[in-house]
Amino acid sequence: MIQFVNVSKRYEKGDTVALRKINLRIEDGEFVFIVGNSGAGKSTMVHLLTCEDVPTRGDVIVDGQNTKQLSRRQIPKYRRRIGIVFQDFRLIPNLNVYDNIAFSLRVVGRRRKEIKRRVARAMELVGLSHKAKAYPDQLSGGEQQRVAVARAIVNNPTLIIADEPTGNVDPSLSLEIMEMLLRINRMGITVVVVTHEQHLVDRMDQRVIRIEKGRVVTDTANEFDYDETEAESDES
Amino acid sequence: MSLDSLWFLIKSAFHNLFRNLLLTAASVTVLTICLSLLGSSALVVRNMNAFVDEIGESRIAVFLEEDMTDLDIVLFKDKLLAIGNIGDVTYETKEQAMENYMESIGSDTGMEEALDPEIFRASLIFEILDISKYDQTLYEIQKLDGVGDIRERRDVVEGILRVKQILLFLSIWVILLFLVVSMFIITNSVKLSVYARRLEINIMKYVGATDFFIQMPYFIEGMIIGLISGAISFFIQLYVYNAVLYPILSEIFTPLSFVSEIGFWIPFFLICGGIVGIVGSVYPVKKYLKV
Repeated sequence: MIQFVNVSKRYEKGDTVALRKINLRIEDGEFVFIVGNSGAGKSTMVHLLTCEDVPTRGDVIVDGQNTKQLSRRQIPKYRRRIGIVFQDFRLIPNLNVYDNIAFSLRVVGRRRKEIKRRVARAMELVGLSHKAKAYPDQLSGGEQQRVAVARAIVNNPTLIIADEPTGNVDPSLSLEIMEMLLRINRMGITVVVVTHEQHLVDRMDQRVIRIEKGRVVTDTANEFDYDETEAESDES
Repeated sequence: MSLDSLWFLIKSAFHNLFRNLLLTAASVTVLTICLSLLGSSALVVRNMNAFVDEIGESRIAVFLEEDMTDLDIVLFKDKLLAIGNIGDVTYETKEQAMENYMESIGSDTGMEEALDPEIFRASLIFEILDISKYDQTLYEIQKLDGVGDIRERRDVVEGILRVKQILLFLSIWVILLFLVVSMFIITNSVKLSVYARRLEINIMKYVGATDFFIQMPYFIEGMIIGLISGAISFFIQLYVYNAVLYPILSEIFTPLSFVSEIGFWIPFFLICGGIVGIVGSVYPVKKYLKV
């Protein structure tokens, strides 16, 4: 379960307030969209979830663990429970599909046999078993993103965070990526998708959290719109 | 850590080395020069000691008082040895002293008949082991009962000590200078590796690789550069010393044999190279990885 409890984030540089008193709760196994315009605070939420940053105020709690209290040494183990999919895929160009997926297992010290088994399963899940030996530049944008998804799930995470996963993908393939994430979600993995592509969100019929100027303005799970005026008075 | 992980780290380190081949070659070259100079300095100092031992100027002769009995001499020898910093002690009788003298001036001078052994004095001859403690040891000897006179070459010993000090001083500065240059080169080499692999490092961080795991290939890279340089320096030193220096030094004294001391020189070069390589890679890894 993910909880944001009164989370505010202020960046000293530029004196920017990215998040203001965010309160939300995502249950295990949920599929959630976080939507909002550029600069709304979506990426900051991702950074807080991946422990790249800590909140200025409030707490981010993932599976009962307050991310603020994680020591430097605990962070790698925490991150192994999260799979991340980036907009720009971040595949290593000189590694083939198999090795790109296996990379995330090798760097956490898994054994060769286990790597082989898990990578084969991940490639099968994303439908890329036949392209194991292909290099990223030989793949389409959609296929590259599928490799990135396979890499994110190969370590058996409990949470997948997809940050604008369809941003660099042909629009005709965007839905395919989303459906794949939905399939992963049906395996019991919590999926958080950050996007600004409203048309995709509308077609998926899942929980949607809308962020504007660092605040949650709507959350379909709560079936009501947040009162912006009230939120502002809270902030003061 | 599993064997698979270790293999992965070593492979990554070699991958780094080959990716920046030109800089790797530059690092190895500079480090090789540095280690060769380091080895040369160590060789000079060791040969200097051998030279001092051979010319024997640290040898001292203590002439005993005339009335000492054999028992007195044995007791005196024990006291002498108790001082420490003294090598094997040889007792030279008056007759042996005369023989040695005759040998030194040549046997055909006809003086043998004219000389009386009684004009020579019995002595104890020994070496000062550590000539840096020459004065202190001599002072202790002078305090002993039964010492008639002492023959020593303080001027020569002091001269050698001074030369040794200058050589040591110069060696240290040359070594330090080249160490700094080598570390600078290794630092840059590793920095470039880190830059070239920034995408991989970024992914490693996201998938939960530990700091240790991310840093390790760069330490191994530094160590490999150091070990390769150490090995090359060893062979350069071996060749230069045996082919050039040894024949020249042999004209003056019996220099150290490089081959017979191989058990010292191989670890010397490899350990020095390895340490410089690892230390040189610590800074960029810590600063630029920011893991």
